[in-house]
Amino acid sequence: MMQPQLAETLPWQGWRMHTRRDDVRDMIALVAQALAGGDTELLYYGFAPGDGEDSGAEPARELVAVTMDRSQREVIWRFGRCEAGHPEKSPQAYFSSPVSTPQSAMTVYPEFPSLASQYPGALWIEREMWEKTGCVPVGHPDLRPILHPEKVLPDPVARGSGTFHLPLGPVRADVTESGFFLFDTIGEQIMHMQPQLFYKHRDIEKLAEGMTAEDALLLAERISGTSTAAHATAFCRAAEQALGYRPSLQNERERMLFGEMERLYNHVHDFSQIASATGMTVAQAQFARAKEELLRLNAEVTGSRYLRGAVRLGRSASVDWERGAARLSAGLPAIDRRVRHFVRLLLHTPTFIDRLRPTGIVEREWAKAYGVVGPVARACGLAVDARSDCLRHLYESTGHACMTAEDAFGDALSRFRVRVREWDVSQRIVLELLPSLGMSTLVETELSLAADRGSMGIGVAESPRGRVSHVLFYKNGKVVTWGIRAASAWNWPVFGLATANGNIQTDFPIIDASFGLSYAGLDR
Amino acid sequence: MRAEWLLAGLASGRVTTTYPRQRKQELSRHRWNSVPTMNGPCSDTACRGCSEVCPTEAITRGEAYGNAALRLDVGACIACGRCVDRCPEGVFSWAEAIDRAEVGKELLISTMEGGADHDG
Repeated sequence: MMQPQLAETLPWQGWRMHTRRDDVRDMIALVAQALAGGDTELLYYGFAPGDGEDSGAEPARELVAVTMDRSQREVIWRFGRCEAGHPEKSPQAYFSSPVSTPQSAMTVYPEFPSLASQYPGALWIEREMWEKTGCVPVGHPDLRPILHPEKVLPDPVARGSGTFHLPLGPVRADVTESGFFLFDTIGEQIMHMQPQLFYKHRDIEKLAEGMTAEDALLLAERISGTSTAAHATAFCRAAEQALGYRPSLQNERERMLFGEMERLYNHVHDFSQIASATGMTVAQAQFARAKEELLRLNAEVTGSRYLRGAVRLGRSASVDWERGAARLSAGLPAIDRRVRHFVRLLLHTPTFIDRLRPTGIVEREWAKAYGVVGPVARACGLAVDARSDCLRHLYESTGHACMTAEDAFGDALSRFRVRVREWDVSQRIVLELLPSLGMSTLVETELSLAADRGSMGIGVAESPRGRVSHVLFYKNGKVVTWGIRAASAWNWPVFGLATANGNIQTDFPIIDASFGLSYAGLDR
Repeated sequence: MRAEWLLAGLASGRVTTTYPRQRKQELSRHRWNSVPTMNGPCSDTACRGCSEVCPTEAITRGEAYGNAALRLDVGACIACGRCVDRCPEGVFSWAEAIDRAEVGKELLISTMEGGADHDG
């Protein structure tokens, strides 16, 4: 196993980091037990690079689960090795017809006990792990391929007289990304809905293997265009921890600022989408205009409308902060006034409220069981926000507060209201951070990219859609293994449940807009 | 309620741009120009700087294309800007606009040789 080098970097200041190696059964049981406690969140779950001791054709796979205990302020990396397994049907066997499946498709694959059987948040993750490596999560309740929608699509679940199956996608209206949705309906009522994604799977984690951290950062920025700053920040934090580099406070403050600039344009985009879904054309156009103004502000300050190149590894952004701060503090208040005005109008429009309440309810229990993050979780009253749990000491001075919904209904209206409250907080953080930027006289220490020992790191950031976490194993100046968990990866599995939760077909665009999910973030 | 919406819509006035009349000015003013383009031939035939820094191999140079020739595939470009920063001769710069559409991926490839730009 790689030797962990868990330098206390600024984002993790005050936290303890532990690594544990257990028998794989104990490991999964311990993770499941911790997650059931309520104070622990799963930051990452996947495969770690092995130690290369096995010289066989199929090396034993090493599992890693990184959990964060909020009350104890601990991050625990748990490792466990897959065991030799039983003959299993390979993922490939699903792609051919059952009649022609040859006996040779039954191969012995390594296995591990399924975490998803106790923690539904791991359902999609384990399907992906199985399909990529063949390692079998034993006891997984719904083991089907997930990565090849062009070969395998979901089967209808609700059957019988009067049921109707409506496939939607993968090509959809507007410029929405590709996704396939299978609705089982009786009349207008949605009985069941299964999303099938991964049309945009680029295998970014694999592409980065053997790259330097600086090259991989370019990939991190392109995981999901609308969360560029969040992914770049999480990646840089992971890489800097792996390299034992401590970023300056100035550097971290810039990243926080970019993160909030990103949240502002994303939230106003979501306002525009929900206005569109409810037929509020004036509001839709006005919010779209505000979004464009925010993108132009981004471009003026950083040189990129989507904040590409702003977050840099071990270096401050190349931004003229005097000019940038002047532009932001001049531009933001006007946009803010307009957005507030139209939000107020919407919240006093009966047809808008009628369509949002009680549409697409996410039950609080689901949100907990699936590890839902971001505004979707906060709309259920769960105080899940990376900025107030693991990054609290960074955000303390900014007046950030985790915004949960006042009514915590978990429906589209709660999600809209949470975003409205977050809009206020974000633009306040931006204005409060501005004076402290560009003032640093400290000379930054040089980051050496060629750390010659094996090391690992975890980086977390709060994207507009929730927590993103990156896990990086780095050796001899190259990426060995990279793991990405975007916010949407936790929220997508609940989307189908919320859509079928007593809603009708015409509610779907509203539920879709209120979740504001990223396809590319999950597919990656 | 309806009157409020009407007034709010009208009160914001007319919002419009000069696109496409002043296409290039409009696009570059708001940073809609984030792809590199080649300005002219490269005189330093030994230099491989641009193709070395390109993370996606969108820029290639070498025997296959003639020693002096440069080949840029905008379809493979991720607009990182490394070539623009790196080239000492200023061969690469940001294009004035990105509103370009082609019907085939191969049409996004351009080569530069001996002063002549063989676009496509």
